Amino acid sequence: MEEKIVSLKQQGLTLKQIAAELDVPIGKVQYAWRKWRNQQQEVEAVAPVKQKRETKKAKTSVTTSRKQVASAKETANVSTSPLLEKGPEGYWKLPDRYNVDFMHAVVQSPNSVYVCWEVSDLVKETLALQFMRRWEELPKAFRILDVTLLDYNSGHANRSYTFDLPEMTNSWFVRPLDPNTTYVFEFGIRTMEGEFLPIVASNPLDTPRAEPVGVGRFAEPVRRWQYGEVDSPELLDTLPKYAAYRLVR
Amino acid sequence: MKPGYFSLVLHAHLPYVRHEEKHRLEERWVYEAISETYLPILWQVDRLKRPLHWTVSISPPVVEMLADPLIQDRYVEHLDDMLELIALELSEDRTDEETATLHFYRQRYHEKKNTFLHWNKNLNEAFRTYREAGYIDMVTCTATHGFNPHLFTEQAARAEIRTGLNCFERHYGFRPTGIWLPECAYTPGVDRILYEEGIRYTFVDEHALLDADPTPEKGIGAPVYSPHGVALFPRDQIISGKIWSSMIGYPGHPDYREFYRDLAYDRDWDYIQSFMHPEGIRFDTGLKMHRITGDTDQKDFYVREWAEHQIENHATDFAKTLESHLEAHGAQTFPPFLVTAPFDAELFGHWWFEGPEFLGKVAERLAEFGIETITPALFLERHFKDLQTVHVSMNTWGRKGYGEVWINERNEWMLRHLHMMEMQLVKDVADYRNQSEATNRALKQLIRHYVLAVSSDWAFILDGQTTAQYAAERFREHTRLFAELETALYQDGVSEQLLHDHYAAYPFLQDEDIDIDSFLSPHDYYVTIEREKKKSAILVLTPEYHGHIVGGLGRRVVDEIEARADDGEVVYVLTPYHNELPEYERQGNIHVYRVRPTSPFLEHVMNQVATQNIAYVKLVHELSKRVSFKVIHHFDWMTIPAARELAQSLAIPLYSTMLSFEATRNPHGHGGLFDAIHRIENSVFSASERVYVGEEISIHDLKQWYNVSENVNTCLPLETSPYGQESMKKNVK
Repeated sequence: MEEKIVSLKQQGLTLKQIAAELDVPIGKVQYAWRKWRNQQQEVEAVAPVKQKRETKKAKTSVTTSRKQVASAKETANVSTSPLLEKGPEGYWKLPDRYNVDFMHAVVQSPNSVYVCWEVSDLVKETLALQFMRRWEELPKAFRILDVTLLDYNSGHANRSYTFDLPEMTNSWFVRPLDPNTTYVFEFGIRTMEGEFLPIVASNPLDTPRAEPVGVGRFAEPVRRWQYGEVDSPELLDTLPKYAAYRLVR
Repeated sequence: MKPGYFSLVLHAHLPYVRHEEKHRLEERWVYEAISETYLPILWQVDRLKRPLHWTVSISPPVVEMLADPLIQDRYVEHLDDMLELIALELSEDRTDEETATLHFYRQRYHEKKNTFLHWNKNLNEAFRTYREAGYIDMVTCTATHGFNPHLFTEQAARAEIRTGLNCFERHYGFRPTGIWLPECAYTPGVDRILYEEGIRYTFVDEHALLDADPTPEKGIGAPVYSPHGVALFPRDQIISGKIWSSMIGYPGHPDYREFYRDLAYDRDWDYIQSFMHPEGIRFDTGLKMHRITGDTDQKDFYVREWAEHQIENHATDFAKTLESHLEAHGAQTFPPFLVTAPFDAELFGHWWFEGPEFLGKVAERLAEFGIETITPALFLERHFKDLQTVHVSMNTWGRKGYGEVWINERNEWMLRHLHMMEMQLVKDVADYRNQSEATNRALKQLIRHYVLAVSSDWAFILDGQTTAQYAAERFREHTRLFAELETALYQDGVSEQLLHDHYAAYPFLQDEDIDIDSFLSPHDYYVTIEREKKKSAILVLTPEYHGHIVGGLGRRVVDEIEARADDGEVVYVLTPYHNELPEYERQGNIHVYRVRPTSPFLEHVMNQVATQNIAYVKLVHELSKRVSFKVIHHFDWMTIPAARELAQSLAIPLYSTMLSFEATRNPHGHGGLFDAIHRIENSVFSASERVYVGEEISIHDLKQWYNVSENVNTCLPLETSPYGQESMKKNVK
């Protein structure tokens, strides 16, 4: 069966056509073709071909197998640096995007913050399967949350503001903001119901104070920490320790 | 002595602009700094020969370039060229004023050469000697002047700090307790790292203290402690402004030398050509023949005696200003009033030609006036008990006081790549640390490439758009080298030659300066070293597992997973987070991850399900780098999107258990949610190897609603593995 699938694929049939031809589930066709490609890759020991997902035709949930090979290779830890990308002329270029999920906000001024982010193919495809629409068709949006003196993870915010973003946006200068305020920024999609669904979020960030405050909201936490009344400071740290495997237990 | 103190801090920094090939214009930045700033400042220290209590900060790129034989030799050649040009000028028929200035320059350039050769061409020796003699104190800066508030990880900030201190210690034989934060940029948390790395004081701009919380009782009249105990010395803008401002300060006086009028632009090309760039580029010679004159384009010739006269006047004026300022705050005690004046060293001499002489004269005047100059280190020794602890928010000494110079529309494109390098370094250190001598050296070289890329100078130059192309190219080059070396590391291609080539491109820092562990996270150490290595595992996604058993599904999941675990399989169970249960639990062969959705409190069911699925795939993305999964098994419709995507991206077979279906639960259902669930359910029949359905479900009936194919079975008895033996075996790695 596997040989048959590979043979038909090499004759140029789509996976869907092969599934119809052989009267087997498309998952089985996909799987067989993928596996064969994987074996080929290992034999040839060539670097995985990077493919831009933006240019891919995503008619259905059937994705091309090249990307799957790349991901599978990545898990096998034989890979290239994510910063290695070649332009059309074969020279190195800065990658347009990275296949990771992150968001980072940095202070520009007491009234403005720069936020940049990335969303992985894995998450994009999962959302496409969830909402049965291509990633590119899901409307993108950005949310500003004022979480001053609140725990972001509680889901509460003092106020929030959501606005739509153009497609293919991966950074934003957020302004105007208020000084001396704790913000969290989120990138996400607007669902059919109009609800904002966050995909990546920044760490909480304090905008700087822009004027004297007398005794403000930090005075008491500073005092408690100074006199050892708490085990760890109740203050935001803009340089948290990062772990590559932070989710692995 | 009068009450109160004055503290002068000079920060010498240039980006690392050493290039093997000759005639790079940027290398002239080093020559100019040596000629106009470093040597003239050293002359003043040597002239006064007593403890001046100046603090000189010298950044690692400057230290390394001063110690570099290539730059040292080229600088001597540069001095010879200058002396030749001066001789040529003197042979021409110039005015008396010009001739007098040229004689002044001739003597000065001879002195530069003598001093430079006296210190064996290495000015680090000079600074070190004067520091050891007690004339000056010294501190350093982070490795490449990276802008701390915009770094992504603690590790990057720590590496910059630790590497900078290591480099400085190698050249200067001691580890300073103070540091110059690049751009005086403070951000909450950097003080914790500084403290842990042995740093007890640094410098900030005055609004850092004026806007601190609580507002410091002494204003900017005393340093404060940051929450983690690092003393922050504030720049006094009024006093500093007298010195740095070309508008309100001394440097704008008409008798001082004009910076923007260079001899190179006043001579015919044929005449000056042999002293210019071989490709025909005209650049400043450093011979500036005019004085500021006034607010006019008609500049008069420089008269050295007039300038010297002004230096005396201004030094006296400064001492008087400082005296009255200190007297006005004379009542302050515990600690006494302190004026801190930190500057870019290159302001003195390079921008303000007469600056170094002014500083020397000020030192003399202050001694005469009985004003005590103090180093921050000595101030802390005396008054460490008297400082208030406050919260300081992010701020810098840059334009408008915050981050605008280093993040704006002209330079923001760099940031994500820097973040990516940081993340990669953390991962690479976790994965490759101590694997071999070669991988350790490769990791150090990767850190070297990163720190060279993260230098705040590139963002600064792109902001100013002066030599923007150079800055952008340097950033790209270091990123490319990082990418190429990292790829070699991944593909086991690190060789002696490769490491040599990468180092030789920019021979900045010794390997001993770079500590791989500055990028290590203890958690990653646990994951990569201590956590047991497992055989390949089954990945299960289920909306219910333990403690959440509502109906048949929960029971079936538990029974099936336990049956597989009893068979000796390792099972990873991913299930939604539940308040009373731990986020992670291990039961023999079963690992249970209770996963928090990416966002709590969404209103609509489908959206809640989506945030749960996003959280699953993010977790598995990481897990799959440490655990090899051979099969994925999901329960119920809610986990279908994540399970399908993971099966595809991991290239492993997908198995489904559907104890009920939307259409069987709700045969008359309709509407948006019903349709959406139905479509998701329908997708498993084509995506899964096998779909197991509840015993009470008639497969025949199911065909009314779903595209059921022959891969559908009723659930197997628990003792039978639901996974095809074929695929299980083949996928075992």
